[in-house]
Amino acid sequence: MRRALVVFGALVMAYGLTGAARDPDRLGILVFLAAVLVLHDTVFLPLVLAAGTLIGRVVPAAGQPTARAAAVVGLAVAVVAVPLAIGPLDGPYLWGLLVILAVIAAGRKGIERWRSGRRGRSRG
Amino acid sequence: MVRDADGGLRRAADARLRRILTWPATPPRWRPQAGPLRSARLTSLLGVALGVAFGVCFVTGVLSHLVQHPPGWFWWPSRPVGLYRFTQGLHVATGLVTVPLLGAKLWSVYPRLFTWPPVRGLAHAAERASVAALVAAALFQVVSGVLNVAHWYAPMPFFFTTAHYWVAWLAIGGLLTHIGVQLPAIRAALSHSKAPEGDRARQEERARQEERARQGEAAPGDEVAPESGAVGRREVLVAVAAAAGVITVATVGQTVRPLAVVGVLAPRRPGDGPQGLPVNRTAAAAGVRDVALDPAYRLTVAGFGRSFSLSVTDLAAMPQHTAVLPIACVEGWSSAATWTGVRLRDLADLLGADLAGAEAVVESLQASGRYRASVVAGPHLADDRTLIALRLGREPLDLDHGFPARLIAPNRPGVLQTKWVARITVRRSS
Repeated sequence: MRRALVVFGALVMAYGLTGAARDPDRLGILVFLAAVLVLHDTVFLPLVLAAGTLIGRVVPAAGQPTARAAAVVGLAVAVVAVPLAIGPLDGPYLWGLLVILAVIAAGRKGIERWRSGRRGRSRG
Repeated sequence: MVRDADGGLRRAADARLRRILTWPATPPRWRPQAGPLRSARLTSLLGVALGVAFGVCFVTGVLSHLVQHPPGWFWWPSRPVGLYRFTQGLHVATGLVTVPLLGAKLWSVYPRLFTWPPVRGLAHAAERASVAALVAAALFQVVSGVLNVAHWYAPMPFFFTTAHYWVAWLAIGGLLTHIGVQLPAIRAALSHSKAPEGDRARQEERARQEERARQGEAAPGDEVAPESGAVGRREVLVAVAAAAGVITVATVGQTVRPLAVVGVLAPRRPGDGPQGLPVNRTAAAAGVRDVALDPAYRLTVAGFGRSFSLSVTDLAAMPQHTAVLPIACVEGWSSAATWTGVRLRDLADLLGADLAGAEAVVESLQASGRYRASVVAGPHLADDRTLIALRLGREPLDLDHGFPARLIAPNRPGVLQTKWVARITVRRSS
Protein backbone atom coordinates (compact mmCIF):
# COMPACT_ATOMS: atom_id res chain seq x y z
CA MET A 1 0.00 0.00 0.00
CA ARG A 2 2.75 2.41 1.01
CA ARG A 3 4.94 1.45 -1.86
CA ALA A 4 2.04 1.68 -4.30
CA LEU A 5 1.26 5.22 -3.15
CA VAL A 6 4.89 6.30 -3.40
CA VAL A 7 5.40 4.81 -6.85
CA PHE A 8 2.08 6.00 -8.23
CA GLY A 9 2.69 9.45 -6.79
CA ALA A 10 6.11 9.56 -8.42
CA LEU A 11 4.60 8.61 -11.79
CA VAL A 12 1.97 11.34 -11.49
CA MET A 13 4.67 13.85 -10.57
CA ALA A 14 6.63 12.78 -13.62
CA TYR A 15 3.56 13.35 -15.78
CA GLY A 16 3.21 16.86 -14.43
CA LEU A 17 6.91 17.59 -14.85
CA THR A 18 7.08 16.40 -18.46
CA GLY A 19 3.99 18.44 -19.32
CA ALA A 20 5.48 21.52 -17.73
CA ALA A 21 8.84 20.88 -19.42
CA ARG A 22 7.13 20.92 -22.81
CA ASP A 23 5.31 24.17 -22.09
CA PRO A 24 6.79 27.21 -23.87
CA ASP A 25 6.85 29.05 -20.55
CA ARG A 26 8.77 26.29 -18.75
CA LEU A 27 11.43 28.65 -17.47
CA GLY A 28 8.83 30.99 -16.01
CA ILE A 29 7.12 28.08 -14.31
CA LEU A 30 10.39 26.90 -12.80
CA VAL A 31 11.31 30.37 -11.60
CA PHE A 32 7.90 30.86 -10.04
CA LEU A 33 8.02 27.45 -8.32
CA ALA A 34 11.39 28.27 -6.79
CA ALA A 35 10.35 31.80 -5.89
CA VAL A 36 7.21 30.87 -3.96
CA LEU A 37 9.07 28.16 -2.08
CA VAL A 38 12.05 30.30 -1.14
CA LEU A 39 10.06 33.44 -0.31
CA HIS A 40 7.61 31.49 1.80
CA ASP A 41 10.25 29.67 3.85
CA THR A 42 12.81 32.43 4.21
CA VAL A 43 10.65 35.56 4.38
CA PHE A 44 6.99 34.84 5.00
CA LEU A 45 7.17 32.22 7.75
CA PRO A 46 9.93 33.93 9.74
CA LEU A 47 7.79 37.08 9.71
CA VAL A 48 4.83 35.06 10.92
CA LEU A 49 6.94 33.56 13.70
CA ALA A 50 8.20 36.99 14.65
CA ALA A 51 4.64 38.29 14.82
CA GLY A 52 3.72 35.35 17.05
CA THR A 53 6.58 36.14 19.38
CA LEU A 54 5.56 39.79 19.42
CA ILE A 55 2.04 38.83 20.41
CA GLY A 56 3.53 36.71 23.15
CA ARG A 57 5.42 39.74 24.48
CA VAL A 58 2.87 42.52 24.05
CA VAL A 59 -0.48 40.91 24.77
CA PRO A 60 -1.34 39.81 28.35
CA ALA A 61 -1.25 36.04 28.73
CA ALA A 62 -4.99 35.56 29.08
CA GLY A 63 -5.69 37.36 25.83
CA GLN A 64 -3.01 35.68 23.75
CA PRO A 65 -5.05 32.83 22.22
CA THR A 66 -7.72 35.16 20.83
CA ALA A 67 -5.08 37.63 19.69
CA ARG A 68 -3.28 34.89 17.79
CA ALA A 69 -6.53 33.58 16.31
CA ALA A 70 -7.48 37.09 15.19
CA ALA A 71 -4.05 37.55 13.63
CA VAL A 72 -4.33 34.22 11.78
CA VAL A 73 -7.76 35.03 10.39
CA GLY A 74 -6.69 38.55 9.43
CA LEU A 75 -3.57 37.31 7.67
CA ALA A 76 -5.45 34.64 5.70
CA VAL A 77 -8.06 37.16 4.55
CA ALA A 78 -5.34 39.64 3.63
CA VAL A 79 -3.60 37.05 1.43
CA VAL A 80 -6.80 36.79 -0.62
CA ALA A 81 -7.78 40.46 -0.48
CA VAL A 82 -4.48 42.19 -1.24
CA PRO A 83 -4.09 40.82 -4.80
CA LEU A 84 -7.69 41.82 -5.48
CA ALA A 85 -6.96 45.32 -4.21
CA ILE A 86 -3.66 45.70 -6.09
CA GLY A 87 -4.81 44.01 -9.30
CA PRO A 88 -6.61 45.54 -12.27
CA LEU A 89 -10.16 44.79 -11.15
CA ASP A 90 -11.96 47.82 -9.79
CA GLY A 91 -13.95 47.12 -6.74
CA PRO A 92 -13.82 48.31 -3.16
CA TYR A 93 -11.52 45.48 -2.09
CA LEU A 94 -9.38 47.54 0.22
CA TRP A 95 -12.53 48.69 1.97
CA GLY A 96 -13.72 45.10 2.03
CA LEU A 97 -10.50 44.02 3.72
CA LEU A 98 -10.72 46.85 6.27
CA VAL A 99 -14.33 45.96 7.01
CA ILE A 100 -13.38 42.35 7.62
CA LEU A 101 -10.42 43.31 9.81
CA ALA A 102 -12.70 45.58 11.82
CA VAL A 103 -15.19 42.73 12.23
CA ILE A 104 -12.36 40.44 13.37
CA ALA A 105 -11.12 42.99 15.91
CA ALA A 106 -14.64 43.54 17.22
CA GLY A 107 -15.19 39.81 17.37
CA ARG A 108 -12.03 39.40 19.36
CA LYS A 109 -13.03 42.13 21.80
CA GLY A 110 -16.40 40.46 22.18
CA ILE A 111 -14.90 37.05 22.84
CA GLU A 112 -12.44 38.51 25.32
CA ARG A 113 -15.19 40.28 27.21
CA TRP A 114 -17.35 37.15 27.24
CA ARG A 115 -14.43 35.06 28.50
CA SER A 116 -13.45 37.44 31.29
CA GLY A 117 -17.10 37.72 32.25
CA ARG A 118 -17.27 33.95 32.54
CA ARG A 119 -14.04 33.83 34.54
CA GLY A 120 -15.31 36.52 36.91
CA ARG A 121 -18.57 34.68 37.41
CA SER A 122 -16.94 31.31 38.07
CA ARG A 123 -14.56 32.82 40.59
CA GLY A 124 -17.21 34.87 42.35
CA MET B 1 50.07 34.37 33.20
CA VAL B 2 51.31 34.96 29.68
CA ARG B 3 51.68 31.26 29.13
CA ASP B 4 48.09 30.65 30.30
CA ALA B 5 46.77 33.34 28.01
CA ASP B 6 48.70 31.81 25.10
CA GLY B 7 47.36 28.37 25.94
CA GLY B 8 43.86 29.76 26.26
CA LEU B 9 44.09 31.52 22.91
CA ARG B 10 45.40 28.40 21.26
CA ARG B 11 42.63 26.31 22.75
CA ALA B 12 40.03 28.80 21.56
CA ALA B 13 41.55 28.75 18.06
CA ASP B 14 41.57 24.94 18.09
CA ALA B 15 37.97 24.83 19.12
CA ARG B 16 36.94 27.25 16.39
CA LEU B 17 38.87 25.31 13.77
CA ARG B 18 37.28 22.08 14.90
CA ARG B 19 33.83 23.67 14.71
CA ILE B 20 34.52 24.87 11.17
CA LEU B 21 35.78 21.48 10.05
CA THR B 22 32.92 19.53 11.59
CA TRP B 23 30.00 21.84 10.67
CA PRO B 24 28.02 19.09 8.88
CA ALA B 25 27.70 17.22 12.16
CA THR B 26 26.48 20.09 14.30
CA PRO B 27 22.96 21.44 13.88
CA PRO B 28 22.37 25.17 13.39
CA ARG B 29 22.25 27.18 16.56
CA TRP B 30 18.87 28.71 15.85
CA ARG B 31 15.84 26.87 14.56
CA PRO B 32 12.16 27.09 15.36
CA GLN B 33 11.24 24.91 18.29
CA ALA B 34 8.18 22.79 18.69
CA GLY B 35 6.47 25.04 21.16
CA PRO B 36 3.24 24.26 22.95
CA LEU B 37 1.08 24.50 19.81
CA ARG B 38 2.73 22.10 17.39
CA SER B 39 2.27 18.36 17.49
CA ALA B 40 2.29 15.40 15.16
CA ARG B 41 -1.46 15.08 15.66
CA LEU B 42 -2.07 18.70 14.67
CA THR B 43 0.00 18.24 11.55
CA SER B 44 -1.94 15.11 10.60
CA LEU B 45 -5.34 16.69 11.22
CA LEU B 46 -4.40 19.71 9.13
CA GLY B 47 -3.10 17.27 6.54
CA VAL B 48 -6.42 15.47 6.33
CA ALA B 49 -8.35 18.72 5.88
CA LEU B 50 -5.84 19.93 3.34
CA GLY B 51 -5.98 16.62 1.50
CA VAL B 52 -9.75 16.83 1.19
CA ALA B 53 -9.69 20.45 0.02
CA PHE B 54 -6.88 19.81 -2.43
CA GLY B 55 -8.52 16.65 -3.68
CA VAL B 56 -11.83 18.34 -4.46
CA CYS B 57 -9.98 21.29 -5.97
CA PHE B 58 -7.94 18.95 -8.16
CA VAL B 59 -10.89 16.92 -9.44
CA THR B 60 -12.99 20.00 -10.24
CA GLY B 61 -9.96 21.58 -11.86
CA VAL B 62 -9.22 18.64 -14.12
CA LEU B 63 -12.91 18.58 -15.04
CA SER B 64 -12.76 22.22 -16.05
CA HIS B 65 -9.71 21.45 -18.18
CA LEU B 66 -11.43 18.52 -19.88
CA VAL B 67 -14.54 20.56 -20.66
CA GLN B 68 -12.39 23.18 -22.38
CA HIS B 69 -10.06 20.75 -24.16
CA PRO B 70 -12.15 17.62 -24.59
CA PRO B 71 -10.20 14.54 -25.63
CA GLY B 72 -11.96 12.05 -27.87
CA TRP B 73 -13.23 9.88 -25.01
CA PHE B 74 -14.63 12.77 -22.95
CA TRP B 75 -18.36 13.41 -22.90
CA TRP B 76 -19.88 16.44 -21.24
CA PRO B 77 -23.65 16.76 -20.97
CA SER B 78 -25.64 19.90 -21.64
CA ARG B 79 -27.85 19.37 -18.59
CA PRO B 80 -28.04 20.24 -15.70
CA VAL B 81 -27.73 23.77 -16.99
CA GLY B 82 -25.73 24.90 -13.97
CA LEU B 83 -23.40 21.95 -13.47
CA TYR B 84 -20.22 23.69 -14.62
CA ARG B 85 -21.18 26.74 -12.61
CA PHE B 86 -21.31 24.51 -9.56
CA THR B 87 -18.06 22.61 -10.17
CA GLN B 88 -16.08 25.72 -10.98
CA GLY B 89 -17.54 27.64 -8.05
CA LEU B 90 -16.51 24.69 -5.86
CA HIS B 91 -13.03 24.72 -7.41
CA VAL B 92 -12.40 28.34 -6.50
CA ALA B 93 -14.04 28.00 -3.08
CA THR B 94 -11.90 24.99 -2.09
CA GLY B 95 -8.85 26.68 -3.56
CA LEU B 96 -9.35 29.76 -1.40
CA VAL B 97 -9.99 27.64 1.70
CA THR B 98 -6.56 26.12 1.04
CA VAL B 99 -4.96 29.47 1.89
CA PRO B 100 -5.32 29.16 5.68
CA LEU B 101 -5.05 25.37 5.62
CA LEU B 102 -1.79 25.29 3.69
CA GLY B 103 -0.44 28.19 5.73
CA ALA B 104 -1.15 26.41 9.01
CA LYS B 105 0.20 23.11 7.74
CA LEU B 106 3.49 24.61 6.56
CA TRP B 107 3.80 26.52 9.84
CA SER B 108 3.27 23.33 11.84
CA VAL B 109 6.04 21.45 10.03
CA TYR B 110 8.44 24.36 9.66
CA PRO B 111 10.85 22.95 12.28
CA ARG B 112 11.31 19.93 10.04
CA LEU B 113 12.93 22.10 7.42
CA PHE B 114 15.89 22.38 9.79
CA THR B 115 16.37 18.65 10.26
CA TRP B 116 19.99 17.88 10.90
CA PRO B 117 21.90 16.42 9.13
CA PRO B 118 20.08 17.73 6.06
CA VAL B 119 20.67 14.59 4.04
CA ARG B 120 21.17 11.20 5.64
CA GLY B 121 21.24 9.03 2.59
CA LEU B 122 19.78 8.54 -0.87
CA ALA B 123 16.27 7.59 0.26
CA HIS B 124 16.19 10.51 2.67
CA ALA B 125 17.36 12.88 -0.04
CA ALA B 126 14.66 11.62 -2.40
CA GLU B 127 12.02 12.07 0.27
CA ARG B 128 13.14 15.62 1.02
CA ALA B 129 13.22 16.45 -2.67
CA SER B 130 9.67 15.19 -3.16
CA VAL B 131 8.48 17.20 -0.15
CA ALA B 132 10.15 20.29 -1.61
CA ALA B 133 8.36 19.65 -4.90
CA LEU B 134 5.05 19.19 -3.09
CA VAL B 135 5.40 22.39 -1.08
CA ALA B 136 6.54 24.40 -4.11
CA ALA B 137 3.73 23.03 -6.27
CA ALA B 138 1.07 23.58 -3.61
CA LEU B 139 2.19 27.18 -3.07
CA PHE B 140 2.34 27.65 -6.85
CA GLN B 141 -1.24 26.50 -7.27
CA VAL B 142 -2.64 28.61 -4.45
CA VAL B 143 -0.73 31.76 -5.36
CA SER B 144 -1.39 31.52 -9.09
CA GLY B 145 -5.02 30.69 -8.40
CA VAL B 146 -5.52 33.75 -6.22
CA LEU B 147 -3.73 35.93 -8.79
CA ASN B 148 -6.01 34.57 -11.53
CA VAL B 149 -9.13 35.33 -9.47
CA ALA B 150 -7.77 38.86 -9.09
CA HIS B 151 -7.01 39.07 -12.85
CA TRP B 152 -3.47 40.09 -11.88
CA TYR B 153 -1.29 38.36 -14.46
CA ALA B 154 1.80 40.57 -14.31
CA PRO B 155 3.55 38.59 -11.52
CA MET B 156 3.12 35.33 -13.46
CA PRO B 157 5.79 34.77 -16.16
CA PHE B 158 3.70 32.09 -17.89
CA PHE B 159 0.32 31.50 -19.44
CA PHE B 160 -1.83 30.80 -16.41
CA THR B 161 -4.13 28.08 -17.75
CA THR B 162 -1.53 25.56 -18.93
CA ALA B 163 0.93 26.17 -16.10
CA HIS B 164 -1.81 25.80 -13.48
CA TYR B 165 -2.85 22.53 -15.11
CA TRP B 166 0.60 20.89 -15.23
CA VAL B 167 1.68 21.96 -11.76
CA ALA B 168 -1.61 20.54 -10.43
CA TRP B 169 -0.39 17.08 -11.43
CA LEU B 170 2.95 17.75 -9.79
CA ALA B 171 1.17 18.76 -6.59
CA ILE B 172 -1.22 15.83 -6.48
CA GLY B 173 1.56 13.36 -7.28
CA GLY B 174 3.71 14.86 -4.57
CA LEU B 175 0.79 14.58 -2.18
CA LEU B 176 0.30 10.87 -2.93
CA THR B 177 3.99 10.17 -2.45
CA HIS B 178 3.99 12.17 0.77
CA ILE B 179 1.02 10.23 2.15
CA GLY B 180 2.72 6.98 1.21
CA VAL B 181 5.92 7.91 2.99
CA GLN B 182 4.17 9.26 6.08
CA LEU B 183 1.44 6.65 6.37
CA PRO B 184 2.69 5.00 9.57
CA ALA B 185 3.24 8.36 11.27
CA ILE B 186 -0.19 9.56 10.18
CA ARG B 187 -1.87 6.43 11.48
CA ALA B 188 -0.06 6.75 14.80
CA ALA B 189 -0.88 10.41 15.19
CA LEU B 190 -4.53 10.05 14.32
CA SER B 191 -5.24 6.85 16.25
CA HIS B 192 -3.96 8.66 19.32
CA SER B 193 -7.62 9.53 19.65
CA LYS B 194 -9.65 11.28 22.31
CA ALA B 195 -8.45 8.47 24.56
CA PRO B 196 -7.51 9.47 28.12
CA GLU B 197 -4.14 11.13 27.82
CA GLY B 198 -2.88 9.71 31.10
CA ASP B 199 0.39 8.17 32.21
CA ARG B 200 0.25 5.22 29.88
CA ALA B 201 -0.30 7.35 26.81
CA ARG B 202 2.54 9.61 27.85
CA GLN B 203 4.87 6.66 28.37
CA GLU B 204 3.95 5.23 24.99
CA GLU B 205 4.54 8.57 23.34
CA ARG B 206 7.90 8.94 25.03
CA ALA B 207 8.87 5.42 24.04
CA ARG B 208 7.90 6.19 20.44
CA GLN B 209 10.00 9.32 20.48
CA GLU B 210 12.98 7.50 21.90
CA GLU B 211 12.61 4.85 19.23
CA ARG B 212 12.50 7.51 16.52
CA ALA B 213 15.48 9.30 18.08
CA ARG B 214 17.48 6.11 17.97
CA GLN B 215 16.63 5.66 14.32
CA GLY B 216 17.73 9.23 13.76
CA GLU B 217 14.30 10.39 12.68
CA ALA B 218 13.49 12.63 15.61
CA ALA B 219 12.66 16.13 14.51
CA PRO B 220 11.74 19.18 16.52
CA GLY B 221 8.01 19.33 16.44
CA ASP B 222 7.39 15.94 17.98
CA GLU B 223 8.25 16.67 21.56
CA VAL B 224 5.19 18.11 23.22
CA ALA B 225 3.22 17.04 26.26
CA PRO B 226 -0.18 15.55 25.41
CA GLU B 227 -2.24 17.77 27.72
CA SER B 228 -0.99 21.12 26.52
CA GLY B 229 -0.94 19.63 23.03
CA ALA B 230 -4.69 19.10 23.03
CA VAL B 231 -5.48 22.65 24.08
CA GLY B 232 -2.99 24.21 21.70
CA ARG B 233 -4.19 22.01 18.88
CA ARG B 234 -7.80 23.05 19.36
CA GLU B 235 -6.77 26.69 19.39
CA VAL B 236 -4.95 26.36 16.08
CA LEU B 237 -7.74 24.34 14.43
CA VAL B 238 -10.41 26.81 15.54
CA ALA B 239 -8.40 29.74 14.20
CA VAL B 240 -7.83 28.00 10.87
CA ALA B 241 -11.50 27.03 10.60
CA ALA B 242 -12.53 30.60 11.38
CA ALA B 243 -10.17 31.91 8.69
CA ALA B 244 -11.57 29.47 6.15
CA GLY B 245 -15.11 30.47 7.11
CA VAL B 246 -14.47 34.19 6.80
CA ILE B 247 -12.77 33.81 3.43
CA THR B 248 -15.58 31.64 2.09
CA VAL B 249 -18.34 33.97 3.26
CA ALA B 250 -16.53 36.97 1.86
CA THR B 251 -15.93 35.49 -1.60
CA VAL B 252 -18.53 32.87 -2.38
CA GLY B 253 -21.04 35.61 -3.09
CA GLN B 254 -19.56 35.59 -6.57
CA THR B 255 -21.15 32.20 -7.18
CA VAL B 256 -24.03 32.04 -4.73
CA ARG B 257 -26.22 35.05 -5.36
CA PRO B 258 -27.93 35.30 -1.96
CA LEU B 259 -24.52 35.62 -0.31
CA ALA B 260 -23.43 38.43 -2.61
CA VAL B 261 -24.55 40.98 -0.03
CA VAL B 262 -21.77 39.91 2.36
CA GLY B 263 -19.35 39.11 -0.42
CA VAL B 264 -17.12 42.10 0.23
CA LEU B 265 -14.26 40.32 -1.49
CA ALA B 266 -16.24 38.69 -4.26
CA PRO B 267 -14.30 39.59 -7.42
CA ARG B 268 -17.40 39.63 -9.56
CA ARG B 269 -20.76 40.34 -8.02
CA PRO B 270 -23.60 38.76 -9.98
CA GLY B 271 -25.44 42.06 -10.55
CA ASP B 272 -22.42 44.10 -11.66
CA GLY B 273 -21.78 45.19 -15.19
CA PRO B 274 -23.86 46.32 -18.16
CA GLN B 275 -27.37 44.87 -18.29
CA GLY B 276 -26.80 43.41 -14.83
CA LEU B 277 -24.20 40.86 -15.95
CA PRO B 278 -20.43 41.03 -15.38
CA VAL B 279 -18.03 41.32 -18.31
CA ASN B 280 -14.54 39.89 -18.52
CA ARG B 281 -13.48 40.93 -22.00
CA THR B 282 -14.88 44.18 -23.35
CA ALA B 283 -15.43 44.90 -27.03
CA ALA B 284 -12.68 47.50 -26.90
CA ALA B 285 -10.22 45.03 -25.40
CA ALA B 286 -11.10 42.46 -28.07
CA GLY B 287 -10.69 45.03 -30.82
CA VAL B 288 -14.12 44.45 -32.32
CA ARG B 289 -15.93 47.73 -31.64
CA ASP B 290 -16.01 49.00 -35.20
CA VAL B 291 -16.62 45.68 -36.90
CA ALA B 292 -19.43 44.75 -34.53
CA LEU B 293 -21.26 48.05 -34.99
CA ASP B 294 -20.86 47.98 -38.76
CA PRO B 295 -24.28 47.73 -40.51
CA ALA B 296 -22.62 45.47 -43.08
CA TYR B 297 -22.23 42.77 -40.43
CA ARG B 298 -23.27 39.33 -41.60
CA LEU B 299 -23.35 36.00 -39.76
CA THR B 300 -22.08 33.30 -42.12
CA VAL B 301 -23.41 29.79 -41.64
CA ALA B 302 -21.48 27.26 -43.74
CA GLY B 303 -21.06 23.51 -44.06
CA PHE B 304 -21.81 20.43 -46.15
CA GLY B 305 -21.19 22.38 -49.32
CA ARG B 306 -23.66 25.20 -48.60
CA SER B 307 -23.35 28.68 -47.15
CA PHE B 308 -25.71 31.40 -45.94
CA SER B 309 -25.17 35.01 -44.99
CA LEU B 310 -27.58 36.46 -42.45
CA SER B 311 -27.91 40.05 -41.30
CA VAL B 312 -29.17 41.06 -37.89
CA THR B 313 -32.65 41.62 -39.39
CA ASP B 314 -32.61 38.15 -40.95
CA LEU B 315 -31.69 36.66 -37.59
CA ALA B 316 -34.39 38.60 -35.79
CA ALA B 317 -36.94 37.35 -38.35
CA MET B 318 -36.24 33.70 -37.54
CA PRO B 319 -38.19 31.99 -34.71
CA GLN B 320 -36.89 33.38 -31.40
CA HIS B 321 -36.46 31.34 -28.22
CA THR B 322 -35.71 32.42 -24.69
CA ALA B 323 -33.62 30.63 -22.10
CA VAL B 324 -32.31 31.44 -18.64
CA LEU B 325 -28.68 30.43 -18.61
CA PRO B 326 -25.65 31.30 -16.47
CA ILE B 327 -22.34 32.70 -17.56
CA ALA B 328 -19.95 30.62 -15.42
CA CYS B 329 -16.40 31.85 -15.52
CA VAL B 330 -13.29 29.83 -14.77
CA GLU B 331 -12.51 32.27 -11.98
CA GLY B 332 -15.49 30.90 -10.10
CA TRP B 333 -17.98 33.70 -10.54
CA SER B 334 -21.23 33.00 -12.30
CA SER B 335 -24.40 34.87 -12.97
CA ALA B 336 -27.63 33.80 -14.62
CA ALA B 337 -29.43 35.90 -17.21
CA THR B 338 -32.30 35.71 -19.65
CA TRP B 339 -31.19 35.30 -23.27
CA THR B 340 -33.32 35.50 -26.42
CA GLY B 341 -32.19 34.49 -29.86
CA VAL B 342 -32.11 31.87 -32.57
CA ARG B 343 -31.49 28.23 -31.73
CA LEU B 344 -28.09 27.09 -32.93
CA ARG B 345 -29.75 23.90 -34.07
CA ASP B 346 -32.13 25.87 -36.32
CA LEU B 347 -29.22 27.67 -37.95
CA ALA B 348 -27.42 24.38 -38.55
CA ASP B 349 -30.65 22.91 -39.97
CA LEU B 350 -30.59 25.55 -42.72
CA LEU B 351 -27.76 23.52 -44.24
CA GLY B 352 -30.13 20.60 -44.66
CA ALA B 353 -27.78 17.91 -43.33
CA ASP B 354 -28.21 15.36 -40.56
CA LEU B 355 -26.82 16.80 -37.34
CA ALA B 356 -26.10 13.48 -35.67
CA GLY B 357 -22.34 13.16 -35.28
CA ALA B 358 -21.79 16.78 -36.32
CA GLU B 359 -20.17 19.69 -34.57
CA ALA B 360 -20.32 23.46 -35.06
CA VAL B 361 -17.24 25.68 -35.01
CA VAL B 362 -18.33 29.10 -33.78
CA GLU B 363 -15.93 31.89 -34.65
CA SER B 364 -15.80 35.44 -33.35
CA LEU B 365 -15.16 38.78 -35.03
CA GLN B 366 -12.22 38.90 -32.65
CA ALA B 367 -9.24 38.44 -34.92
CA SER B 368 -6.82 36.74 -32.59
CA GLY B 369 -6.72 35.19 -29.15
CA ARG B 370 -7.00 31.72 -27.70
CA TYR B 371 -10.71 31.95 -27.23
CA ARG B 372 -11.81 33.45 -30.52
CA ALA B 373 -13.47 30.23 -31.56
CA SER B 374 -15.18 27.37 -29.82
CA VAL B 375 -16.58 24.01 -30.83
CA VAL B 376 -20.16 23.04 -30.02
CA ALA B 377 -20.70 19.31 -30.31
CA GLY B 378 -22.99 16.47 -29.35
CA PRO B 379 -25.46 17.25 -26.58
CA HIS B 380 -24.83 20.99 -26.75
CA LEU B 381 -25.47 21.22 -30.47
CA ALA B 382 -28.76 19.35 -30.13
CA ASP B 383 -29.95 21.14 -26.99
CA ASP B 384 -33.00 23.40 -27.30
CA ARG B 385 -31.41 25.99 -25.10
CA THR B 386 -28.21 26.51 -27.04
CA LEU B 387 -28.78 29.89 -28.63
CA ILE B 388 -27.17 32.46 -30.83
CA ALA B 389 -28.46 35.21 -28.58
CA LEU B 390 -29.49 38.62 -29.86
CA ARG B 391 -31.04 40.00 -26.70
CA LEU B 392 -30.18 40.03 -23.03
CA GLY B 393 -33.10 40.65 -20.72
CA ARG B 394 -35.43 42.91 -22.67
CA GLU B 395 -32.77 44.77 -24.65
CA PRO B 396 -30.52 44.02 -27.56
CA LEU B 397 -27.17 42.65 -26.43
CA ASP B 398 -24.80 45.24 -25.06
CA LEU B 399 -21.66 45.65 -27.15
CA ASP B 400 -19.54 44.28 -24.32
CA HIS B 401 -21.79 41.25 -24.04
CA GLY B 402 -21.24 40.31 -27.67
CA PHE B 403 -23.51 42.53 -29.86
CA PRO B 404 -24.76 41.71 -32.44
CA ALA B 405 -24.81 37.99 -31.58
CA ARG B 406 -23.19 35.65 -29.09
CA LEU B 407 -23.25 31.97 -28.36
CA ILE B 408 -24.83 30.90 -25.09
CA ALA B 409 -25.18 27.24 -24.19
CA PRO B 410 -26.13 25.40 -21.00
CA ASN B 411 -23.47 23.89 -18.77
CA ARG B 412 -20.53 25.49 -20.52
CA PRO B 413 -17.60 27.60 -19.25
CA GLY B 414 -17.70 31.30 -19.98
CA VAL B 415 -14.62 31.27 -22.23
CA LEU B 416 -16.45 28.97 -24.63
CA GLN B 417 -19.55 31.19 -24.91
CA THR B 418 -18.17 32.95 -27.97
CA LYS B 419 -19.05 36.62 -28.34
CA TRP B 420 -19.41 38.73 -31.50
CA VAL B 421 -20.15 35.63 -33.55
CA ALA B 422 -19.09 36.04 -37.17
CA ARG B 423 -19.12 32.55 -38.62
CA ILE B 424 -20.56 29.13 -37.86
CA THR B 425 -19.11 26.15 -39.68
CA VAL B 426 -20.88 22.82 -39.32
CA ARG B 427 -18.94 19.66 -40.08
CA ARG B 428 -18.70 16.00 -39.18
CA SER B 429 -16.85 15.42 -35.88
CA SER B 430 -13.63 13.60 -36.63
